[in-house]
Amino acid sequence: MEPANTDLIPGTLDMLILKTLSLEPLHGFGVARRIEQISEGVFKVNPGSLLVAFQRLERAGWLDAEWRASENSRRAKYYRLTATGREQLERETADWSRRAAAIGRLLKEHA
Amino acid sequence: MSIWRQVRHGLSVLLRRARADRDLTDEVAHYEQELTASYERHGMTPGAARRAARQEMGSTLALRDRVRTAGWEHVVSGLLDDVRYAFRRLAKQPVFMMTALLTVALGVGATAAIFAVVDGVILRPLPYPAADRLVALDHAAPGIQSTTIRMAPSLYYTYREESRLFEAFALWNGNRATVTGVGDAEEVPALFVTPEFLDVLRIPPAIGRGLTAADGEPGNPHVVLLADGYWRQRFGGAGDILRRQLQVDGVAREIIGVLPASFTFLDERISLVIPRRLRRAEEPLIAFGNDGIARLKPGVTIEQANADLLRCLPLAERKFPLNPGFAKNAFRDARIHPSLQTLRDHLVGETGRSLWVLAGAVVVLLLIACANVANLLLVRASGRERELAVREALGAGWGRLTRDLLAEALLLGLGGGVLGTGLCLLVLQWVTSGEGSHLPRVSEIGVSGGTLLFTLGVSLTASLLFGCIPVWKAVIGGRAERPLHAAGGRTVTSGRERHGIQRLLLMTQVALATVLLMAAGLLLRTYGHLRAVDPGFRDPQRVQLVRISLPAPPDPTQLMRSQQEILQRFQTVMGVEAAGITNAAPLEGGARTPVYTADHPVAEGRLPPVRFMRSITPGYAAATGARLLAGRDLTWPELYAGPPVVLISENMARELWGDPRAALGRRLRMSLVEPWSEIIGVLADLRDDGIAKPAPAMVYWPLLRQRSNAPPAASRNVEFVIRSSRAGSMAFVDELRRALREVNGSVPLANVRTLESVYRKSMARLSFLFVMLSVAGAVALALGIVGVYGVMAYTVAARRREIGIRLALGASPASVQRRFLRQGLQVAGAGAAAGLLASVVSARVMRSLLSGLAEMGVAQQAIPLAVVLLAALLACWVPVRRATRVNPCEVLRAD
Repeated sequence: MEPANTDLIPGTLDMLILKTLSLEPLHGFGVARRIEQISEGVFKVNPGSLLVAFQRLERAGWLDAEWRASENSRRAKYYRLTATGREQLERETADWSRRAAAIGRLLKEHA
Repeated sequence: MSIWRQVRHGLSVLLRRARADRDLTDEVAHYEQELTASYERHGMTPGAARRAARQEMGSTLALRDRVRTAGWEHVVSGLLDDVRYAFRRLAKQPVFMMTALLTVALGVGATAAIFAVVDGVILRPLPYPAADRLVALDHAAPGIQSTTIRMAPSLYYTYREESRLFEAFALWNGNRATVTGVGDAEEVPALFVTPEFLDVLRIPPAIGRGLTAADGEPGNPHVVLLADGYWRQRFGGAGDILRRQLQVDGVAREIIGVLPASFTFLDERISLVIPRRLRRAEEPLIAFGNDGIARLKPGVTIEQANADLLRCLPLAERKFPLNPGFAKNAFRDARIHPSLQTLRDHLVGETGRSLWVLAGAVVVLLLIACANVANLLLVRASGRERELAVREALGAGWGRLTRDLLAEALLLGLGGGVLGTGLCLLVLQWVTSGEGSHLPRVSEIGVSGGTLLFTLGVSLTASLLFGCIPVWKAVIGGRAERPLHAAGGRTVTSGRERHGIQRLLLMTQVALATVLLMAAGLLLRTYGHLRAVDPGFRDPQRVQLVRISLPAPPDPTQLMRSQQEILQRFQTVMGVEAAGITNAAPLEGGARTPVYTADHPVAEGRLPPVRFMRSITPGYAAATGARLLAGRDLTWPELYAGPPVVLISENMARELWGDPRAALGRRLRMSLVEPWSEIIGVLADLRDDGIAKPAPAMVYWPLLRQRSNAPPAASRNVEFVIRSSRAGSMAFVDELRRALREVNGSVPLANVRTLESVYRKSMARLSFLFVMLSVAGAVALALGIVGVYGVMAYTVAARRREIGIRLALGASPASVQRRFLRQGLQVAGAGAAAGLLASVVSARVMRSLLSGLAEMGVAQQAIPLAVVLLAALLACWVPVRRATRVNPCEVLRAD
């Protein structure tokens, strides 16, 4: 049996990061773990894609970053959602729901 | 917002690269650590957890690189790295770098300087609002063989009343005016204008009011406007200047305004603007001693305007009476027609065309410089072949290698551009000093923002030009052969193709240098022809010219006596050999008049031939050095009491009577109502119309001219011509000034100069062009030599192994040398031949732009060819000789 496909649906990483951070600020690995946990292992996040996405979102003004000392006194970069990031999340969520519902309907009808 | 954040973020990364790197490293390390910890929590041993984490993360180096290259700043920082690297590489070869930089600097600097001149003189509009609608009212009159007659008051009125396509007309005359009553008497340049003058230009005064129609009407108070400079210099910029009185030419005038500081008019230095008072009823039909300007209505073309005025011209004949004594058909026979030009073209004239020749020359120079640097870069690039091959093998893409090579070209281009701007400033300083160039609008030439932008553009274009060739060769074209070189470097010769392109560049360079040298030679020949021409005067450096304008007494004879008194006083100044008076210095005349000849009658009412005229006194011919070919000079009693006599030029005597001697005793007159004047002498031809043009037929009337039913004619504003070995010295002029003061304390000595300066000025345009083209030719030759030398030296170095083998196999050094020299000369010869062909075309282009250019002679072609080939031979010989001195064993053992 082939291993189950754990790739993210293309184009959804940004939205998932924003959603994850909407609860509390987290560092990079924290975000990855949270996505895996909540999706119950369906999605697994690639570290490279994640860090590049952080850069992109930070530059877009949706995330803020700050350095904190982690538990074992190393520097850890924590990301936090900004006000515009929250607006963006709402937009993307609404958009996603609309499209997901449409796909759901389509699949049902022709099944 | 988002873009701004992008830029800010990128910049902060660029500026603090070390910190950004540390942050990224920390973030990745922390990620890996957390991942390991998470595996441990799931029950793995620490070692297994670390391995699993590493496997999942992949190479942290690659990961960091992926994140780092995501932003735009990565591209910039890559470029910066390239530039830094390129600079380090260049700095390691200072000779190459300096050669390339200087080459670019010469090309770019020359181009920038000529652009600044062309921009200031030709491209930029004159400093008036909507200046493109201003025209100079010039006319031509083929009926009297004249291409330029100016403007008459009769036409001014006619055009004003009848034309439809013009907004306004104005007449102007540039002249000198004597100001008295404020400090010493002085002669200042003034414009005598009709009242619309400033409105046509749309220049309102800075202080006070402009001219109104009333200022031009007799009976109203006399007024004057001051130029800004004169106001500051003479009145200290006094604020209460208005309503003050100024004595101008003996008339009290009220100051009504001051012109803005920015005001200039056709390069004339002006102190005063004075309204003219024309009386319409008293103007004759023909009086073309005026200049005119006009403003076209919007959208009107020069052709339409010409047609409009051509329609008005015949109406003038009905409105104004023919001058008394003129032939009845004079106006119609002259076939006057308007030949309008924009005011700018009128001002710039033929200089504009010579500037285009120069612009062509500097473009050629720039191309040579680019070809040269391209060649040098090619030589270097092939030296780096192995390095490039290794880098390509290690995975550098062609884009990466291209950027690397282009960075070098860009550095050289921009560095050369900066040096070139400095060079451009030096050239401009010389050009605008006025001594060398006598260019119009010289005050408007400068390094503007536009010039700097242009220079930057030229530098970048040049960089791309000479950067792309080696890129193409080394990166794209050289791919196929590179592995071989990298493998062992044991190939004996390098690619044939590269040599092809180098030869082509070299040929182009040699050809272009040949063209420039031939163009310079052509101008030298033209210049030489002109210097060899007998201008009609001798030793101009020993002829002092000064102008004196006496206030006009009611009696012309009295005026003449005062002028004679000054002349006699001048003759007592130490060192004076001869002296005379004339209305206009040689080469500065141009007045024409119809001349009736007693034994060559013209049909009733027809116009006789028009001749140049000049008024002189006894001593004029001796002072200028004009040879008397037959007869004798004037005498003073003839001036005052008659009988009327004249002198004529040799060519006129030959035209009418076949021989100078035969002209003596014949009779002439200017109009039908004058008495006949007897020819008493024939003077050598004077090239009064310009040294480059044939000498015009000339009649020398006495300065005081007796007329039958009118008082004699005299001139108030005259040139004193004084021959002395002391001419031109300050002491001499001071003595003349003192002598003048002894006779008349209230008139100034004006326009002090030597005939030599007039002579030189008349050839200035040509000598300027000649000097500039010669410099361009010399620089081109120098660049060509550098190019030939560089390529030969490289070829020889690259083929040391081949030479070594040849020598080892028994070839004599001389035969090897000959082989290489022949190759070099083949390239140079082909280039020179192409240059010879191209120069035929370039000579034709030059001839279409410049009048009076000499024919291309054998010498003008042979000498540049010989110079180019000799230079090429020398440039080849030095490296070739060095190469055959190699020891075959050493060469073969090397590598």
